[in-house]
Amino acid sequence: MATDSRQPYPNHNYVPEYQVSGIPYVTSSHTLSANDKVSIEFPYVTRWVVVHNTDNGNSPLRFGFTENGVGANPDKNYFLLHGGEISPRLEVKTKDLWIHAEGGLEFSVIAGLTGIQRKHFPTLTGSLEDSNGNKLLLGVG
Amino acid sequence: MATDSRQSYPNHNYVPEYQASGLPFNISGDTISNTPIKIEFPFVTRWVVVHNIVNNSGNHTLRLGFTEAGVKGQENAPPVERNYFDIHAGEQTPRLELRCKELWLMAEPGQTRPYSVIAGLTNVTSSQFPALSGEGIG
Repeated sequence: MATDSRQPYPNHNYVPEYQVSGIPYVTSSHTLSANDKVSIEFPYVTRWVVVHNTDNGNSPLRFGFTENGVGANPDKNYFLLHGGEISPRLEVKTKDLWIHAEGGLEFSVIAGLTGIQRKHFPTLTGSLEDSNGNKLLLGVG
Repeated sequence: MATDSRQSYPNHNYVPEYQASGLPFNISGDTISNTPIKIEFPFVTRWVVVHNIVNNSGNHTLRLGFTEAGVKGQENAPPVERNYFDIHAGEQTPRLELRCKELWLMAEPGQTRPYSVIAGLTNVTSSQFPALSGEGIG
């Protein structure tokens, strides 16, 4: 919410924010044990993300956009990366990324951020419904 | 900052600079164990690709970051901060659509790693781009 009406802030639907290259965000700070979960909270909305399962063994990594999603609660709303695998550059806008380790592992995340503050982006949830009771975000969990 | 007010320069937020293909920038070299290397671009990048070139010294990792502190990581003081992306031997990153004026590379302790970096540059001079620091950068 703008505190000064003379200076509006971009909304996450503002296209030019996705036309410029992203501001870098990078982390390899987390070491997860089996069944650990962690949320990467970006300070700004992402333009794209890349996830790398840097484990040299064969511990799969799940990544998704909600805690329920990566926890398969109730549906498996996650993407799986085996040890050593890197995701493509995923042109998704989100403010949170959830990682779940099926076995102990380490990972790296790199993202290109927009200039849109995270408070201007809604919390993604699969329980969001329209006026007819239809689920709006089926793929996040 | 323009010295001639009749000739304005593009800012790094100027969208058309990222719509054209980038001017090429290409460099290769060797990292030294525990010594961060800075790659400085003359203009702000539109995208970068980093390649950890295979040699015969085993499966070793190259770190990619955007500050010296980020790529070194802070292992000794909680919370652990490692603001770098790991690239295994023989791997290259996807084309990273990032704007920056420098990037940092460092081999894992006890290793040396040959690398290649290629980037597409905008026409925005590096002096028009701020020094990055803080969360997600290091």
